[in-house]
Parts: sequence; C-alpha cells; structure tokens
Amino acid sequence: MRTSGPSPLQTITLLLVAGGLLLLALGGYLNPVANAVLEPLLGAQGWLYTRFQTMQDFFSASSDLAALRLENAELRAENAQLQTDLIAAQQQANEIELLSALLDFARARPQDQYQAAAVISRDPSPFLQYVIINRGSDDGIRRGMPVVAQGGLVGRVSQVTASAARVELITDAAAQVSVSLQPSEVDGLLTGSLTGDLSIGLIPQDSALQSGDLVLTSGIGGQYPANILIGQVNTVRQEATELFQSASVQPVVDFTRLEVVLIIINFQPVDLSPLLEDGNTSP
Amino acid sequence: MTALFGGLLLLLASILQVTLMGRFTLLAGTADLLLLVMLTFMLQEDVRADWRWGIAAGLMVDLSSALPIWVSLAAYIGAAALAHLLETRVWKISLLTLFALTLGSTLLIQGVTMFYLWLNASPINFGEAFNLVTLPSMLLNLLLVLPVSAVVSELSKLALPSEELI
Repeated sequence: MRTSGPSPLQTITLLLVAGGLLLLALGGYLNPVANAVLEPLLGAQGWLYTRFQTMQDFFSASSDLAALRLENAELRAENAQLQTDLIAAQQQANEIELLSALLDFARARPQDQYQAAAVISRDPSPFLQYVIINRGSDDGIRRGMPVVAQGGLVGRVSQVTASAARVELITDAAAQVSVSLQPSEVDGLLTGSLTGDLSIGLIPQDSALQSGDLVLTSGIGGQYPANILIGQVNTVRQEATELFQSASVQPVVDFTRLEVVLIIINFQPVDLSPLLEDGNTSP
Repeated sequence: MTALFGGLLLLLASILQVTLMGRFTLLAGTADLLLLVMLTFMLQEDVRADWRWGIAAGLMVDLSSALPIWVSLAAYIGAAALAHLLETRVWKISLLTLFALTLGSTLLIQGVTMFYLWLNASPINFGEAFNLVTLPSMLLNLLLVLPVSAVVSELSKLALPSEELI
C-alpha cells in the first residue's frame, strides 16, 4: 500500500498559518489569548506549590525547631551574660566615681593621712546611728579617729577590733561636734537626732546667721581636726525668749548611702577627761 | 538538728538585718527581721520555745550593735519569754496571737533600748522616740510578720521533716 506525504498545498498552508501566528504573537495580538490560558494555569501552579511547601515545612519542622530552640537557648545565655557584664560595669563606674570624690577630698587636705574603708553594716537598732567598717587596729585604726567621705565629715571611730571598727555618725542623737560657721565666723555645737537630722545650737543671739552659711568643724575640744566641711545652714530659728539661736543643717554627706569612707589616721583626739571633774569630754 | 537550723536561720536574719533592713525606714523606724524570724521559728510546732533562742538572738545583735550586751540580751530574752508564755498558754497560735506577740515584743525591745538610753543620759525626747521610731517599727514588723512566718514555716518543713515522719 502506498502512502503519500503531505501535499505541497498543505505544507504551504501550514507554513502560512505558522508564520501568521508568529507575526500575530510578535505584534502582541495574541496576549489576551495567552493570558486567558495562562492565568488558571498559574493559579493552579501557585496553589499546588503552597500546599507542597506547607507539607514540606510540616515534615522538616522537627529538626528546624530543635535547632531554633538550641539557638534561642544560646542567645538567652549570651543575653544573661551581657546583662551581668553590664551590671558589673555599672558598679565599677559607680565605684570609680566614689573613689574619685574621695581622692579629690584627700588632695584638698594634703596634711592628713588617710585609710580607706568600706562600710559593711549598720547598727540594727533604729535608735543608734552607727556603721561598721572593714578596717581595724591591724590597719592602724584607733579609737577617736575622724572619719570623712564625699568631701564631708561622717563621724569618728568609737570602737575598734583587729579587723573592723565601729563609727559613730555625727547624725547619732548622742553625737556632738564643735562647729564654726562661715562666713559669719560664729561657733556653735552641732548635734544629731533620732531622725538623723543635724542641728546647731549654742549660737549667740547677736550673731548674724544666714541660710546657706557653711558649717565646718572648729577643732575646739580636740575631738576633730579643724575646717572639715559638714554642710550648709538650712533654716535659722531665733526666738527672743531663748538664750541661743539654733539652725538646721543640710549635710554634704548622704548618710543613707555610705559605701566607702576615709579615716584620718594621723589625727589623735585630745583626751580632756583628766581636766574635767565628772570625766566627760567636751566635743 | 533543730538547734543547728534555728541558729543558721537567726544568723541569716541577723546578716540581712544589718546589711539590708536598715536601709528601709519608715520615719526613723526599721523592721526587726531577727526578732520576727526568732518569734515565728519559736512558734513552729516542732520547735520548743524557750529562752535559749533569746540568748542566741541577743548575742547576734550584740555582734553588730553599739548597745551593751545586757541590753540586747535582756530585750531578746524578754521577747523569747513572751513567745514561750504564749505557746504554753494558748492552745493554737492564730494570726491575732502572732500579731499580738509581734506588737508586745517590739514594744519590749524598744522599751529596753529607751531605758538604756535614759540611763545613759542620751539627749532623746521619749515622746518623739515613741512617735518616730517605736510606732513605725511596730507597723513595719506587723506588715512583715506574715510573709516572714510563711517563709520560716516552709523552710522549717523542708529542713526538719524527719521529726514529723518519725
């Protein structure tokens, strides 16, 4: 049986149709037709791809989750370490600031020799204003030595052991310090109180006292060196019926935040007890 | 075991008192954590409340306080005696009893301290001392006694379980 191929007419027709379609496509006339055909196809493709991806994620999630948990734990540990480092750095910065202030004070009074000490505890009784420091007789600390901090007077050593000492703060109700007011050049007696407030008494009525006057140790009585800053006069109370004026004092030292103090170790208080009949020393 | 655990508890309270509690003041009053721990520990079922706990607490206060030893000993032995009295006279310790004991003990300790300051001719106005120190301290102690009691009770159950089991 003889088979014949396409006739030349068919071939030419096909070539003409193909060439026409090519020309139509190149001219952009077939775009709507292509879009109409491709759009549902792409939609179906997208739907299938999304579902496949979801299934793939579901099956591979167990290994990824474990890796993520591990990474999360590592990041948390790193974060905790960084926070610890930050706190340590902040503490160091605070200490440096505190020590700089103490150094400034020591430089301002080169005649004094100092021993630095950390405050390690406070008196448990609310009636007493004492602190305990971590330096004792082994470090050259003796009873009666003055204690300063942050540019101002803190108190004096009242008891000493080999490795620690108890400091009576000037805010204690029983503490008394002879003071001199500047620039009015008036002497008075500074006393503490139960609440930790400071006040000056025994100021003569005719003295011109003003708010803002500086309060310094006068050195009278030999218990403290002269010219250590204590604070500023806050308010003055003058009653015509009283013998003396009094004033409240704002201390330069923040007694609620005492951390590091300096003990003046080359000052020995004068023992006045043999000169006094009742044995009491004057401040 | 009870003595060892009680001693450690009092020591911990004493350290917290001198380092931490003194910073939290109400007017001029502070809470007495050592007293609260001593009282609440003495009132635990398995603990015999006697004056030895008062001696232990008094000695611990003496280590860090400028008060003479007889003041702290007298104050805390007195507080321990109050707790002992209450434990022997009252069938079950209620909240009201605990509050009453806290009030009485605080008043006793502060009273003994004020008596010493008076003997020592300290320039203190006692009315002011009562208003600014004693009353705020009592209030702080009352506020703290319940949480302290809960903590001490739980710690005691953890540390001293054998006596219940036996």
